[in-house]
Amino acid sequence: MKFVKCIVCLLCLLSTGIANAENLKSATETQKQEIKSNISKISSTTSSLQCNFTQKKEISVLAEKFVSEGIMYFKKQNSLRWQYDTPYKYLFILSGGKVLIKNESRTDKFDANTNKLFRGISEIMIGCVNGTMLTNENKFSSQYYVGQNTVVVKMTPKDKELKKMMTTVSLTFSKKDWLVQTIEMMEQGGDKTIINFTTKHVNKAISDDLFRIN
Amino acid sequence: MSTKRFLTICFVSINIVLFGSSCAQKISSNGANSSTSANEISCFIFPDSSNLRLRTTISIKDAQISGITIAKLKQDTVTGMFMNEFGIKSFSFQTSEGNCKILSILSKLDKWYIKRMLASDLAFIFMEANVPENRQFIIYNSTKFQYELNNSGKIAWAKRIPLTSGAKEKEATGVLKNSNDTIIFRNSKHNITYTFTPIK
Repeated sequence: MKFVKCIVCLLCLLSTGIANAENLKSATETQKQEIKSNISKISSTTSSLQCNFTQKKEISVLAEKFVSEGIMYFKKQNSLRWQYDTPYKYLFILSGGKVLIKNESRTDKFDANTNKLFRGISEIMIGCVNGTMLTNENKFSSQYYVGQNTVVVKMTPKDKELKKMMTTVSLTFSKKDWLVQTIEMMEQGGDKTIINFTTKHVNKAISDDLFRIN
Repeated sequence: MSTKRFLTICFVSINIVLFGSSCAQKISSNGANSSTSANEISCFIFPDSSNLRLRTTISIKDAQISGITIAKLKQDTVTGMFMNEFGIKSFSFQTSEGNCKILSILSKLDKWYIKRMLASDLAFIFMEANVPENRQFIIYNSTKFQYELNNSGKIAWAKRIPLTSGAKEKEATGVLKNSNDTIIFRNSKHNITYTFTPIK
């Protein structure tokens, strides 16, 4: 009896897996160009973006799912405020080529242009938010997948240093608004970070004070 | 050299090695586990059903790295990981009976001296040992840990004093303080301060 139950469960799991896999199909060259064009169009018309985010870190060896939440603000050209509110306070601002990092105990400022690490982080964060990372073919090779309501772009870093930090970065775009819905970063060893964006406000006025560094 | 003499030397050498290692084992376990009435000492309270989550900062001179440490206690082994706020893993480790192994580390930090220092500091910070009651120190191989417990049986403060066989005690290379559940460990040799605050 137990054996039958196991088989039934296994079949259910397999069918769910197949259904999920069937939802996403490799994009044709025409679809790929169409996706790029849609994302580029929305990116050029988006002057600001504000949304809530939930970040889930899955650590396989500790069977841990660590969740943090916050708000993200983006303003053209390259101003970004990434603010964690729970379960810790942490603020990352990128504006005018400078970076501000503030935690519960101190504030640090860096020049993003002279610091290679921060330049890399900034490029990825802004690139993920406005979709320009898709055009960064020098640093990533991309595979496009099309589902019913979403499009997934799976990006593999070409950079040796970046490869050591993450094996792939997957961006999920909603077909409704062509904005990034989810960022999924896979690490060597199976750990992953999933960032989900919700309550999006496009082109809503955002005060410059939120990006103030000095 | 005759074959018989060579074999005798080999036999004697093997015996010395085996005897030596069993003695070393005994010294280590005498320090930690030999009592019938034992006290489990630690700085942290590990939850039963979930992992311990700690807001963490590591300050080196004027610079600071911040992030989150996730740790799990299973029997006498602590497995942990330190990541930054964005979820990027910096290093993972495993400590047991005063020893620590760095399991993985970000390539930028992958230097033998960083790993050695981290392993030594984390072994001390995440010390989880059964020690005889009313003892004020534990000896793990070449290190002496002096400590004092607070009312809840957790470590209130501890000092790390390296020992070398036959030599006099050296100065403390690290001091740990536990105040209101915030654990601060200062590596006085390298001027590095670790701060851990539980995330509720």
